[in-house]
Amino acid sequence: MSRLRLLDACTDRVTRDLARRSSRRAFVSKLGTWLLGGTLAPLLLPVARIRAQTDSGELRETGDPRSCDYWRYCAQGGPLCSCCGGTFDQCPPGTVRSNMAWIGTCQNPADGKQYLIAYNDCCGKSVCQRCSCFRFENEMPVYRAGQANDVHWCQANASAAVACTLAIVVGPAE
Amino acid sequence: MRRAATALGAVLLVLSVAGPVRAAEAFNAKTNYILYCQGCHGADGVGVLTDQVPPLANAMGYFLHAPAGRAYLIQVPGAAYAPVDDGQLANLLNYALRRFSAAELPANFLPYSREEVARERRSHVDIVSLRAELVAEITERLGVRLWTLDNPTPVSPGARGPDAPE
Repeated sequence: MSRLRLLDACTDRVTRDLARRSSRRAFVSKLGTWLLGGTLAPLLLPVARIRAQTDSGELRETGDPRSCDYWRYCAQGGPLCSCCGGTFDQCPPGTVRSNMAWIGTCQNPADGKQYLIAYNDCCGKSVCQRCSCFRFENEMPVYRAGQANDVHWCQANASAAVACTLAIVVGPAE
Repeated sequence: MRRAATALGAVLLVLSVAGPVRAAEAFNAKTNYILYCQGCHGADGVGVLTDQVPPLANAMGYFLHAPAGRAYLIQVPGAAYAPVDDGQLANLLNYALRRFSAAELPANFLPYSREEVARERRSHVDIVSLRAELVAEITERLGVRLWTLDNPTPVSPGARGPDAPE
């Protein structure tokens, strides 16, 4: 019996303390914030926005595709199309994807796997002045043109003007 | 002495960091095709007919009908200088032939081997003249006109590409 009384006393003390420190309005407000945040977070976080842009829905990605640090750009050699009216795999309006490209590999930090990345240029407009990005992982000098990031790949298109460079995932490197 | 030890340490550190990055990774033939061929020849092997990239599709297998054509496919610069070893290049050629030009292969087609690639790959040939001779020989033997720089419109059964006839 004394144990029950002790439990009763403890519960009474905890609830009285809680009531003294908080109000019901504050509780409702916090609950509302939590529910609203939980609903909106997937829309606001960069992860979800990236997934919305991805060609294959199964690819897991993290990071900001408008930043040069983004994983697909590990051997990028030019302005990011993501900053120039396109995305990492879509050319900006008024430009077309180059007929030729070079293809390298980058490691996706989300799953630790290597993926094949096609660095096509977007052709037909003068160079975009935003988000210039140069990185050199597994990239080679121009004497290996097929693995070089400073070749202009619009040379086989009607207009050789390079606006920006894409980073398209072709598939896993196996 | 300390300076020498520091220098040696620095060299070892650079080698340990840089080594794995440049090491040839053992990718399969499909991935090697994507890495070292697809950028110009395309995912479906049609090439860029108007800009110096010949088609592989419905064309590559014809070269095996001429005696020198078999070595030519190993010696053509895109193949010979691809950063893969001889066995990987043999697999890559066999993969591309079967995927893009199975219909044009001779009936007695023998797949390339590592030994054959090793034997032919390092020969120095005038590749442009050799190609012209092979194209003429294939036209004479089979009545098929393959892609050339002067005439980037091949006439072969099933030929595809932006400027190929229907």
